[in-house]
Amino acid sequence: MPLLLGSYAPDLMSKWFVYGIHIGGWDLKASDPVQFHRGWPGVGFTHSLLYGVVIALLFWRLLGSKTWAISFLIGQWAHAITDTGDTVGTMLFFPWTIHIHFGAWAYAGQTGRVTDAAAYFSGLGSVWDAVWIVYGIFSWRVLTRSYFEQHVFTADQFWSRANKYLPMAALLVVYRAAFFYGTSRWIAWTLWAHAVHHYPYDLSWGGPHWVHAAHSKSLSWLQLVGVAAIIAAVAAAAYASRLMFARRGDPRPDAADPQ
Amino acid sequence: MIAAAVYVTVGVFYTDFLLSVFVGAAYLLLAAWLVPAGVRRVF
Repeated sequence: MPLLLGSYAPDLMSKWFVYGIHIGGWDLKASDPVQFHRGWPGVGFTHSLLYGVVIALLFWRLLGSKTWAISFLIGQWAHAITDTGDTVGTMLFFPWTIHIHFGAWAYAGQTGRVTDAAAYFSGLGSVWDAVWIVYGIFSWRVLTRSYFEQHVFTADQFWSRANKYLPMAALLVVYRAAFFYGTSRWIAWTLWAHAVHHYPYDLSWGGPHWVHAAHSKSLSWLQLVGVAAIIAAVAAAAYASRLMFARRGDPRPDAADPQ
Repeated sequence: MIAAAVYVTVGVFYTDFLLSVFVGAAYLLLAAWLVPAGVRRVF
């Protein structure tokens, strides 16, 4: 559940304002949807690694659950990193406000939800979704009742609390809902875009090129060096902490002191 | 499978149905738990 929540967290409160909504006589929409969604000033920080860490620490502190904290972090990071695949990308290393972007598929959020969906499901973003659907199908055992009861139900207190109000059959439906939603949604939007409306597929890098995509500036060499330095520092810290924990857990008398 | 087919069919012609995971979960609870449980109770 926290992993699912984390995966939705970056867009949970902001996407409606990117696409705009009509309530009564009011039209509510960001004046610069791209800036609002992914930039700073804006709510682009919700797509950063730091945002995931902060919320995860809050979960850990307020709920006292390491499982919720780490699961939320994985989900939020998955979303933030995946969105670097489009032409705008994300401020992954916020408060450093450069946009990490690979430009594999067109960002078209500023065109409204219908054109955005048509573009997304005509480009490499749709292929990337399909990869995960196929991976999910190959991992079908995680969707079985026995896996849910043995591994998921026991790992997260949310399920045992919910079980006071709902039977196991209903909880299993809720558990499977994310995969059901993701897969069915992908099929439905694909049929809508290509069988009903005949939007052309364009699986070239940065496509589909028939949509007016938003783009971020390319990174300078200096910025690339900065990104590489951050990644190297994090990898070194992870390696060092692993060594430290390995030594603590090693019962040999000489393990703590290499001399 | 039937629940998924209905969801896809409705979604293709009424795309608002596809926008929210909460709508998807509510639909699935209805189609895959409440309705079958109700039918089992009646018959």
